[in-house]
Amino acid sequence: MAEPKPFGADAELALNPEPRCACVLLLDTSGSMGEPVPATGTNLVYTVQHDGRMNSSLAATTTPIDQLNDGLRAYHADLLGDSLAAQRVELSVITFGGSVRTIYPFVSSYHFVPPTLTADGDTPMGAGIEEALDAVAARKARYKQNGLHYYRPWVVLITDGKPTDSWQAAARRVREGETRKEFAFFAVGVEGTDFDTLRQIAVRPPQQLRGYDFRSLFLWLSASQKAVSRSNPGQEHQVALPPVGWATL
Amino acid sequence: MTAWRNWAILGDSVIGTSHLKGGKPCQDAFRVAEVGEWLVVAVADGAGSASRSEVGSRVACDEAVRWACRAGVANLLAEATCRELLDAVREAVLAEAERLRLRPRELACTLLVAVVGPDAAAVLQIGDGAVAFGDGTGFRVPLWPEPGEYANVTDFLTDERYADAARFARVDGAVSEVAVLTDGLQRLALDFAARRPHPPFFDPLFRQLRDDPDRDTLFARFRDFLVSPPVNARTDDDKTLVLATRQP
Repeated sequence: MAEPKPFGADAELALNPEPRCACVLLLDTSGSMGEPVPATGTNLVYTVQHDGRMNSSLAATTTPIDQLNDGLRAYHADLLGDSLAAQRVELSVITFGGSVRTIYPFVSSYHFVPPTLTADGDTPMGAGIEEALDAVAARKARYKQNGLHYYRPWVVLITDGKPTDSWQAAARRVREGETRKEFAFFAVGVEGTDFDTLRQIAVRPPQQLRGYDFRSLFLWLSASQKAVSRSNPGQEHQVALPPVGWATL
Repeated sequence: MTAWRNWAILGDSVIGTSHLKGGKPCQDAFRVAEVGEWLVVAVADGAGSASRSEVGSRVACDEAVRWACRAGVANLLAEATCRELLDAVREAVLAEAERLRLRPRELACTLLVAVVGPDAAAVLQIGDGAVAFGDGTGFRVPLWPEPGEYANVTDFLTDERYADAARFARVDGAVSEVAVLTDGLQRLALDFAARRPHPPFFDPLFRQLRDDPDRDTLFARFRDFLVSPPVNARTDDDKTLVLATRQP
């Protein structure tokens, strides 16, 4: 006797586009990001004796921007390792260093190629934030137009300094947008960042990066986005995942 | 479950792969009652973020069906009666939360109630998931699942503003097929661009429910379908599907 036919063998599953999770990486590429910093566990400067005279010599092996670029690559590789997240997370990179530049308008993780950023100029953070919020609003409008479902967009600001432009209007927009749940705005600074200003901009407490460990930060980011892009109704508030590993206490 | 009287019914709630990995129970629940010619189906999807939502969804379904039978299922074609049912179900869930000394939100769940009579049917819904009615020529979803703005936001029975979030629809005319599903299957069964049910999903399932000769193994095969690789590749959430077709 023949095996009974599997139930649903003829059923065809509807093909709906995956819901989208938009993320702007808003990155500080001001000149200071290009200055040498000590590699983990070493001193920046050591003293050498030469011809009977003491000299200072630079022992640095890295710059924050190098670490940031490395972190971006690790982040992207990690996202691609999760096919659902890779289909759902859309990335944009906006930098502020000298001027504000959209290095990447939103693209799916699959089409994203991690850029190699260079550091130069002052820190127009206020303009950068406004650019990022405009990009998020435009992206959401497109999702709506196309009937796509989406998660709350993320803006992740990473900086090493303080704004050199006027940032108060941008801060107001961040606060209003967070209240209306238009996006989730995360701010991360390295040591020496003006955290007083960051706290006036971000509603969520800004986090301080341990050293220049951008890689751990970005791996946390991809892990969080993998979780969010799989979250189901009722889990929205879990978007505010606790900072781990990469932040100083 | 399977049941065969005036209706042929198949229904099951199965745990999603993400819940399995996370050590969470299946938070979906469903109940079905046949009352003569009438059918009542209650389906609830417990919130993933709530600690005991599997209790909430079970209590909600139990109370919905019990209340419906006591009130007289035909009365549920009236929106006012459905809203009384909603209040009663919410009360039952809140009472259970109190008994367990938990905040109501720890039992958060959605609720879908479908009532089908000889010549009319009704849906009561809070949160996502969908009820589809078929009349032999096609299917329709009287209340389209409208997620909150974000894909991971929905309304729950335990919310303060549950009454505003709850929706009701009445459909006049014969209904011979009913499908009720939780959001775990929503994107597989509905065409969101066209905002209509996806007939190639429903047609073969109902055909098999009506005509498959091997009735004894039908339920086991139905369950296999719900956990089959093509389905699990598309959803890692808990999923509930109830299919009912009127027996000739």
